[in-house]
Order: sequence, then C-alpha cells, then structure tokens
Amino acid sequence: MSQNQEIIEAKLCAYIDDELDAAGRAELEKHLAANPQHQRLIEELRRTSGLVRNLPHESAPPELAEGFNAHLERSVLLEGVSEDVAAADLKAPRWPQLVAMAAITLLTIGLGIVVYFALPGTGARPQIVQIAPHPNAVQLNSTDDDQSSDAMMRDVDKSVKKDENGALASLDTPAGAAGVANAARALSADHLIPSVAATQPSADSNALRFGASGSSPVVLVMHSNNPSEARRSLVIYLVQQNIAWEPAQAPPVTDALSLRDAGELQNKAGGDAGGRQTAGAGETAATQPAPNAVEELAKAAVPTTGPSGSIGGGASNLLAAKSAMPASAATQPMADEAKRLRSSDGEATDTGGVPSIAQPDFSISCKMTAEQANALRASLEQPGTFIDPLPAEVDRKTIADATEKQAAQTPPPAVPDFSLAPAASAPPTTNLLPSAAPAAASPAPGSAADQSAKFDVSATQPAEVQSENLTSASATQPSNNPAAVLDVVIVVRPTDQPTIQPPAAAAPDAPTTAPALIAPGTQP
Amino acid sequence: METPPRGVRPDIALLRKAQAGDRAAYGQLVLMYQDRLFNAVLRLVGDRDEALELTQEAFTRGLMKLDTFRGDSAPYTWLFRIAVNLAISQLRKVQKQRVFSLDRPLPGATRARADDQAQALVDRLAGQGPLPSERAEQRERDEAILAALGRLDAEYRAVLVMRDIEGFDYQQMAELLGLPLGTLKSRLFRARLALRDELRAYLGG
Repeated sequence: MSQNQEIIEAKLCAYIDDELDAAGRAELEKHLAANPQHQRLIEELRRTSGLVRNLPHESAPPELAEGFNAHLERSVLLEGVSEDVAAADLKAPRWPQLVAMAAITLLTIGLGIVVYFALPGTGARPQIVQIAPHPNAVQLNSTDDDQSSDAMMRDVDKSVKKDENGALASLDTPAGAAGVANAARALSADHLIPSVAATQPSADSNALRFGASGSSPVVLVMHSNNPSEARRSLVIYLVQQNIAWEPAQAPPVTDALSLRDAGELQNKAGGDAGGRQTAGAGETAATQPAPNAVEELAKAAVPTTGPSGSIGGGASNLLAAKSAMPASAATQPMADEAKRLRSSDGEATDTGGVPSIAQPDFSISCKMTAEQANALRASLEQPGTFIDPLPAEVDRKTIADATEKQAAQTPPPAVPDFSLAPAASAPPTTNLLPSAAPAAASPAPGSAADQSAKFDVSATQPAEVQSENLTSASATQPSNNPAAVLDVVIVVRPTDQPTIQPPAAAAPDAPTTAPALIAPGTQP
Repeated sequence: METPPRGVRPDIALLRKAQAGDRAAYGQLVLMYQDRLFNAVLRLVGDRDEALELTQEAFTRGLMKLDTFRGDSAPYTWLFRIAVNLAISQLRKVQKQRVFSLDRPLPGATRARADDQAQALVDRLAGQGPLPSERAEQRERDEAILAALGRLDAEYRAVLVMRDIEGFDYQQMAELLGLPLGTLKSRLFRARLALRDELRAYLGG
C-alpha cells in the first residue's frame, strides 16, 4: 500500500467519522459531488459503522464476578506472596523433571546390571552337573565292539519293545520304554564286557529320581566276584575321602524288569523323601540299615586304613553318621515296596535292608562332589586299582549314549562336561586309592586273579545339583562346577547274578552276528 | 466507599487504592468495568464462554500488573489494552473464522427485506413500540452483523470494536495498538469496507 493511498484512506475514514478538518472536508465533498458512486460508498460505510454501533450491549454474566472474586480470595489468602512469584511457581522449569527421569533410568539400569551380574543365579538358570566320559573314552570306544554294541542295543530295544508280556507290559508308557532301553544298553554292555554291567538311571523316564530338587542320582555299579571284599573296599574308599554315606536300596537291575521296578522304587523314594536333606551327619536315611551292619562296615574299614590319621576320622564320621540316622517313618512304605518288587521277581530279599552276602546287591547312597564322583569313577575304571587287580573295562559307548540321550531330552541342552574327570590323565595302572592305605585299597597282586572283580561305571546321567544345603551357593552353581554336590548310588553286585533275560523273540532285522544277550550262568 | 478527592476520577482513585494494597478497591473497579469489558471482548471473539474466560483473565492480569499502571491513560483503557491483546492473541492462536448463527445473507434477499422493512414501518406507525416481528428482525440483523464481524480479520475486528463500540478516539486506538495515526485510520477505513461487503444485504436503500 502506497503512502498516498493510505493518506486518502485516512482522510475518507476521518470524513466518515466527521473528524476531518474543514479544509479537507471541503476538498472531499467537492470530489464526492463529482462522483456519486463515491458518495454512495461513503454512505454505505457510514451505515455500516452505524450498524456496529447499534449492536446491543451485552452484560457480563454473574459468573465473571464470582470467578474473579474466587481468584481474589485466593490472592488475599496468599497475602505477602507476590503474584508474580506465584505465577513463577506455576511455571516451574522442566529441567529438574528431566534430570529426575534420567536419574531414575540410570538407577534402574544399574540395579539391573547389579542383579544380573553380582547376585548369584536363581532357579531360572539350569543347574546341571554332568559327569561325562573323560577324553580317554574315545580310545575305549574305538573298539571293534562298538558297532556290534550299537547293533545289539538296537536289537534289544526292538526286541524288548516287541515283548508285550509280563513285566515289559509297561513299555507302552514312555517311561517304561526308556527304562527298558536303558536296561538293554546296560545288558548289551554287559554282554560285550561280561563282567561289567552298566546301569543308568533314566532321567527321561523319571526313573531313579529322588531328592528335593528331583535330581537324578549317579549310579555306579561294581560287579565283583567277591562282593564282600568290594563292599569293604568301597567303604574304606569313602571313609578315606570323608564322604558320608548310607546304605540304600539297590536299584535291582538284574534284568529289564527289575530295572523298571527299580525305577519305580526309586521314584517312590524320591516322592517319599523329596524334602529330605541328605548331607552331613544330620541326614535322614531313605532306608534305615541295621546298626550292626553299619558298625560291621566301620569295623571292616578301620583296620584297613593303615596309619593314616584321617582314616580314623573318616570312620568316626561314619559312626557319627550312623548314629545320626534316625528311623524315618516315611521310608517304611518304600521298604515295603522294595520288598514287594523283589518278591515279585522271585528274589528272597527280605534282609531288613542290611547289606549282607545273602543280599544280591549292596548299595549305598552318598553325596559327593562332582570332582569326587569322577575321581571315584576313574578309580573304578582304572585296571588293577581299587579292589580290582584286573584291568577293568568300561562301556564307554553306553555312557556316551546315555549322555547324548539325556542331552537331547533334557532342556536346556546340557553340554557334557569332560572336565570332571581328574583321573582321566592318570596312567591306567595307577592306584587311585589314597596312598595312606595302599594295602587296604589294593589287594595283593597274587589275589587279584581270585577276586577277578570287575567294575563298571555305569552311564552317568546329567545330574542336577542337589545341594547339601538348599540355601547354599553350591545349589546355584553352574553345571561345570566340580564342587557341585551329586547324589551318588553305588551298587556292588556279584558277577554271578543273572544280568539279562533276553526277549523271547529277536528283532527281525537283528544282525545275524549279534552275540547272545544272555550272561553266562543265567541261561534259563 | 470513600469519596474520591475532588477532581480525581473515581476509577483512577480506585486503581490507586488498589495499587496501595487495597484489593477490595480493585474488586470495585472490576464491578465497574466488567460489563463494558466483557461486551468489548465478546464483540472481538464472538463467543460468550471465550469472552468470559478472556475477561476474567484480563482482570486477573490487571491485578497482577497493578504496578505497571502509571496513570497515562484511563484505567479502563489500561484494562482494555490487556483484554484486546489477549483477544487478538487468542484469535491468532485459534486461526479460525468465527461462524455465527447466521449464514451470509443471499444477494436476492434485498428486495424481500425492503418489502419487510416497509411493512415494519407501517406496523410501527400503526401501533406503539416495536412489534414482535420488528424485534425478531432486529435480532436477526444483529446476529448477521456479529457474524460478519466474526468473519473479519482480528485486526479489522479490533479497530471496529474500539471505534464503533467502545468509542475510542483515534489517538487512544493508535496508542493501544501501537500504530501510527494515519495507519490506524487507513486500517479502520479498510475494516469498514470489508464489513460493508459482508453486510450488503442490510445496506440497501
């Protein structure tokens, strides 16, 4: 808009409002007289201004005064406080809020880091300790018998599954099938190495599970022609290692049926004694042995301990453990069940739980660390050591199969920990018994042939940590912790026991070269 | 209420007392000006609720800024400055054209409206006071004017209200709006032109 146009518009506006000076008015009226359309426009603009001026006058609503009075009262109450200050309070800066939010975020992240890294793990982390074959297993497995062993195991599996009679009727259940499959593997191993039998508690079949955490015990089976001597040596070993032990119901794995029953038995034991604490002198035995039996074992252990002072302590510990074993009422149903199962197998096993020569198996239950368990296993595997002067063989294939199966069926996948075999690097002829009692641990070489006791360390299940103290940190250690406490069941079994009852019908696709699965002396 | 000293306007006396801390005096000032200020704001914004809120806000800000009143202008002019600034700011913020109850009148309605006016004149001469039809017509016209005002820009609306409703002189308006006097007059002329274009149907004859 040009300056001239603005001036003209200003004069016209003033003329409409009758505020133009006389000279300007005369000049403009002269122009309007010559231009009637402009005169008409001025009249319209005057009427427009009149319309606006004549608009009705609106009164303020009562709420205006009321609202303002309310505000006025508030200001009176806040006498002494400047309104500007009050307004400033209402308009507080936002940066303190931002700082507070940032601080809260940082604290939350920091706390999360502390909880994740500093605090011990919880039950959400799988606590699995797995005793796996030591690296020498490759050599042991690389025998010619491996392939035949696999074939036999397949054969046994198929054959057993086809047997729908009698005790194997429970094969229709996954637990039963797995248990029999495990038994078949044990039997096949027994066939390959007649004096060595492998039994593996089947975690996937829920057999042989017990304990508060539902962990699977590690079962070590010692086959010996002289079970009494083997039992005595075992006790000595445990005493020397300061491992508290207690007699336990043996998993009757003399055949497939008995293995299944053993699974049931141990499963019941796990249910009955699920909450027991089994460590130390205050533990409660699942089965209560006769006191004289324990004392007998202790007496058998003491004279053979030699000059080592620690052995006496171990024996005292053993006695203390014995004296601390209260009779548990909860174990009675389990003993009855064991009696029933054994009687169903036609075995005269009513020995009151006292391990004796008459009892086919002598089993003890103990808790030991994974390192101790591997050491014991290595001791059992070492030929010419422990109580067995003859080279012992171990069915590594069975162990590997069990490990693989367990790893495949047990989430999360448990990586076999091969670091738990401290004796793996030991020479085969090394006597792993503590040097404090060499005479007691190792029989004279001359008596080795007579005893001809052979041991088998059965397949080792990935065993969950069952801590002595459920609140201890060991219960939450990772699986590769050698200090993790395991439930271990050691079975001493005479080698003359029947170890297998083959299925009536062989698998159609069974290899023609498959050896017989019947142990010597057990042929029906 | 105390009588103000002779020669001192009552509103100025109240404002001085309010500045001295007498909040009741400011309350009296509010009662004195609330209708006028509300009406002016209502013509500016066109909405009663919004006018009510803005008027309260203007009085509140006046109370908060009592110390800024130096007496160069009338207290109402001082309050009106606060109110008109709030209203223009609000109108610019909303950025919308006010739509009032009446739509823009159709061009063809001029003749009929003239006939109605003639009839109204006859009716008025025949009787005493406005007839109901006259009152309805007046109400309709007022609503049309308000609607036309609402369709104008905020700046045009402000000068029209200040001049034709509030009766401010050019100098006051120039001071309130911070405009040169010639610019203010030119804006007022243009505002009237714009409103005339909106109200052609009511300007015939």
